[in-house]
Amino acid sequence: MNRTMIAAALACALVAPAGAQTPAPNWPTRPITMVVPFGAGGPIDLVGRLLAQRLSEMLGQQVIIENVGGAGGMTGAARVAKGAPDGSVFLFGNQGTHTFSQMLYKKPLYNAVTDFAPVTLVVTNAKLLVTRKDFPAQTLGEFIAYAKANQAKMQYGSAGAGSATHVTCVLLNNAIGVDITHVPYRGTGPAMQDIIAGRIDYLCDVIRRRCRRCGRIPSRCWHCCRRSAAR
Amino acid sequence: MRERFKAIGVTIPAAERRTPEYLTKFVPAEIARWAGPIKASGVSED
Repeated sequence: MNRTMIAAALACALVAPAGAQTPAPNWPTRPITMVVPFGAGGPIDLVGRLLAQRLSEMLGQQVIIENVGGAGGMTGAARVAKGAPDGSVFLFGNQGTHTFSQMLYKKPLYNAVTDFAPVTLVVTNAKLLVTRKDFPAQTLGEFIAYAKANQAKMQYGSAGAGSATHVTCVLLNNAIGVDITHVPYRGTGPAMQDIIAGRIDYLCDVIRRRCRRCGRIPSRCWHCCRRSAAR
Repeated sequence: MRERFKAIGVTIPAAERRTPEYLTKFVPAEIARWAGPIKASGVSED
């Protein structure tokens, strides 16, 4: 039974420190750092590593991934914002680093518009509402009804306070009109482990797994992957 | 690379959205788009 659904689009983008100029004709002359502002093995890291591998081939210089997690991606993004604008460092940002961070904090560590030089939108992906395997709802309508009736005892996971997965669930809960306990994890990987184990009720995840790996995960993940690939 | 992205489930945007010019407009537009819902939700990390 498919219990996932596409909730919203999430974009990942490549940006450089503000003031970055058109590079010299012989750029790059040394290895390039691409900061992934989340832990290794997560959805952003996975796409970033594929991109880095291809860029390394194209540029003839190694593009090295540096995972700098924390504060929903803001820690890694801040490092790039303050980095040298010489084409040696880039950020693989996302909705968390370049949209949500600007509103969640009174004083964000950077200005997402003026402290970065935009390079390109890289990918967009869909967000999914993923529930534990034995969650007693088969559709979004049933999920809403169950959440309204059982909100006091429910818990949702996220990749950390302020992360896109957290804010997405907050917006979802707000739209439904429920107040549910948030359980922040150090990334969606550990949160997904607890979904599989049934320790938390739901998670607002992004599509990220290869279908052949989904056999190990709940059946609904398999369904969502197939649907996505068919788009 | 397109095949590998497809296998993960992410979508490569159309060519006109893969430019610095587009991203220059896209980031502030997204901030404006989500400001209302986030403010309404009351979520804050301060």
